[in-house]
Amino acid sequence: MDAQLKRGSLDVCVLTALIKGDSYGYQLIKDLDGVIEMSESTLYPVLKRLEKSAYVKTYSEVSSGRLRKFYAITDEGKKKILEYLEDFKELIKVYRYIEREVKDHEG
Amino acid sequence: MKDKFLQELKKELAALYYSDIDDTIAYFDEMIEDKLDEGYTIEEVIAGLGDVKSIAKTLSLEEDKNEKKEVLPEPEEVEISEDDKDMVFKTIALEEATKISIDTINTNFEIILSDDDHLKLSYEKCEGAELVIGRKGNKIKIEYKEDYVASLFNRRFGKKSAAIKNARLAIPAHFQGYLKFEGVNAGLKVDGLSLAVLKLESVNGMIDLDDISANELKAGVVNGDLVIHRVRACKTDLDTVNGRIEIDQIKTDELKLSSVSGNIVAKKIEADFISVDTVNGKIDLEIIGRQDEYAIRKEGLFNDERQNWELHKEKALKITTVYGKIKYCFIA
Repeated sequence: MDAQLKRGSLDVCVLTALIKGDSYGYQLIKDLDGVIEMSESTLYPVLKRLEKSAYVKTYSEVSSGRLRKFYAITDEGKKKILEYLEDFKELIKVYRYIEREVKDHEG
Repeated sequence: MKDKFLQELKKELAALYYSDIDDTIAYFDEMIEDKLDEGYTIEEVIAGLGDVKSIAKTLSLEEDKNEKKEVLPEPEEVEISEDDKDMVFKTIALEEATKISIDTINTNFEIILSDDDHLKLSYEKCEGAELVIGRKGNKIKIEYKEDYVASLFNRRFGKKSAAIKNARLAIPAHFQGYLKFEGVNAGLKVDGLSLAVLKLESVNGMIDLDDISANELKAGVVNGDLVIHRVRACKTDLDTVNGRIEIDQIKTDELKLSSVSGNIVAKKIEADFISVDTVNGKIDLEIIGRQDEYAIRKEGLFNDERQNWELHKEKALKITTVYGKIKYCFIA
């Protein structure tokens, strides 16, 4: 997948995984397994980016005997998901157009 | 084992000028503990995370991208004369920068001295691609950037990315830091610079260095030639896969030359420790000094010239080859 396209999708995938409830690093990796290619080292920058844009809030909490960093989606984050869905509708139109034209062009 | 992994990661990140180290280490620590709780062994967990170097590289690249909005240069007014109307000029103040890195394709670069405190980048206007210059902390980065639509189009129709012509970077004379160049189909010419560290790599491009002094010089070419004139360095490490290395006048404490199939011709070498290896290249060395000053050792798979090091000697020449032909002589 194109890097730029994948970047936006990764962010929204992680946000989407947080809709059903707050989560932490490893749980997110497990939840997104099979949806989008994501390793530990690609997840970290995504979380940072989301935190910086205030799409998620973080807090630390003891869970199963250890201190974990939890991530919670904000209202801004939810808005971002909706925006992504809207943007994608546009993109799909463009995609269909390009696909059609390229096919004609190639004969 | 976990601590060792985290320590190494920390080291690699620091080497890449990564800024968010503590938080990142805490994240990986938590990740590893969670996997151990799941019943994986520490070996499995660490193998699953992958190579520390590539983790650090990914994180650092992403950090750069995340911070790019703040990084993009403060454009400065540059007067453009009528002759230069087809050129692009970008200027950035050096300030506290200690590292300059260039990452490019399809662009031959020339690096020269700047006449003031600014890094000045110039190149011919090019459709579909540009060179961007940005700053992050003490690092200045110059990158080839293809127009997004052009890149999609080129990939779809198997076309080559645009080549940028006449790229030139002027570096302030008092910059004493680290210069890194990575180029694919891109060559580099550097003239008259004095720097702490130079690390230069080119695939299919030529690297040409003239009148350079550095603490550490490392240069490698894959198919291009590496031409070196008048270099002074504490440590010099030059390698080629198929290209040719040509040296005329080098003064260094340690000189390491290596080649796979490429030939190496080196004249006027002044070095205390010389190590040369080739798989099947031809090597021709001219060393300034007397042969009896050097402990000489030749190693090869198919010759029997193995000798013991003469440890009392202060200088050394080490030659290793599989099928290569090696010739050396000493001159006064």
